Amino acid sequence: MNQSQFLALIMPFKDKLYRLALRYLISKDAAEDAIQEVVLKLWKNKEKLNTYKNVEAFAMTMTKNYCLDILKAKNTTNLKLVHNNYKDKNISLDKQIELTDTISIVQKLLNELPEKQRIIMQLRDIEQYSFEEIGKILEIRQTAIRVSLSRARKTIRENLIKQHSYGIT
Amino acid sequence: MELHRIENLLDKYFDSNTTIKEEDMLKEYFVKNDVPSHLQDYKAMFIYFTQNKKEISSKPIQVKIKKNIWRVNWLMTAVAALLFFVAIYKFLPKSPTDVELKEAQIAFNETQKIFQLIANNLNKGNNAIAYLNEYENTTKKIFKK
Repeated sequence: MNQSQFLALIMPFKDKLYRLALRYLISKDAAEDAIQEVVLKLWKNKEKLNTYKNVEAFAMTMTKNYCLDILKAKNTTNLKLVHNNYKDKNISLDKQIELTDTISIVQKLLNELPEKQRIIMQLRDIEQYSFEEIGKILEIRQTAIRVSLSRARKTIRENLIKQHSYGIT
Repeated sequence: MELHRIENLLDKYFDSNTTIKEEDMLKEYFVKNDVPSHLQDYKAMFIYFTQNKKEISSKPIQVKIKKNIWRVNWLMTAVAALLFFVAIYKFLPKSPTDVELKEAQIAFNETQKIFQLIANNLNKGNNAIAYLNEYENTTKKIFKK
């Protein structure tokens, strides 16, 4: 497999990897670094790629694992502080946009969901994967996915209604 | 699409029982239509879902470049190592053979003989120099006086 063939294989779902990483890591730079790493890993194993039935799901799983590793590393070192700093900045920035853009509230609410729900919602509502594919990517059972997804959707709805009725927007 | 059906779909949606097709219908409805006020909150949600898909990474992915540098480096190391060994082979002195050792011994002996001869002849000359010294002594005597 040469470079152009490899890129042709990767390109269609490259941005899905990016959005998944972004959902995990919140920071855009971190997400970009993460997909760069994942793609490099794929490139190193390019001879094996053809043996996988679903390269996209495989790459998504790799991205998930890579992001979890990064988050774990952040939790064990003092880097968590940096992450928190970043988040704070983001929220205040969000608050500015909030006044003009209701859609960004959804983004903020989504980022505030527990990690598992956030990722499942990303995969289903934005990337439109089937439950079977999500199960493959995240390595969890489909019933668990349905429960988490339902919870995530309802949380978003409740928070949206709350914000609306309090007149924050 | 009637409002009734949308509300039904929404109920199914929040219980995670909708198919992807039905979710597409919901998205389309909320993105394109003017929505009654009690459904207004959902509009932002579905618009966000469709908009988020356009969120893409601006950084191009690099694959080959890093790899290339590696390959060139690898090649250059191989060439350098090869040159190094060739140089060692060419320029390092070989250990002498037996015949060469014998020849060297003979040459050494010959030169020693020649040196001996020269030394002997030099000694002959020394006698003459001793006579010269005598001559000097006498001149000193004369000049002191």
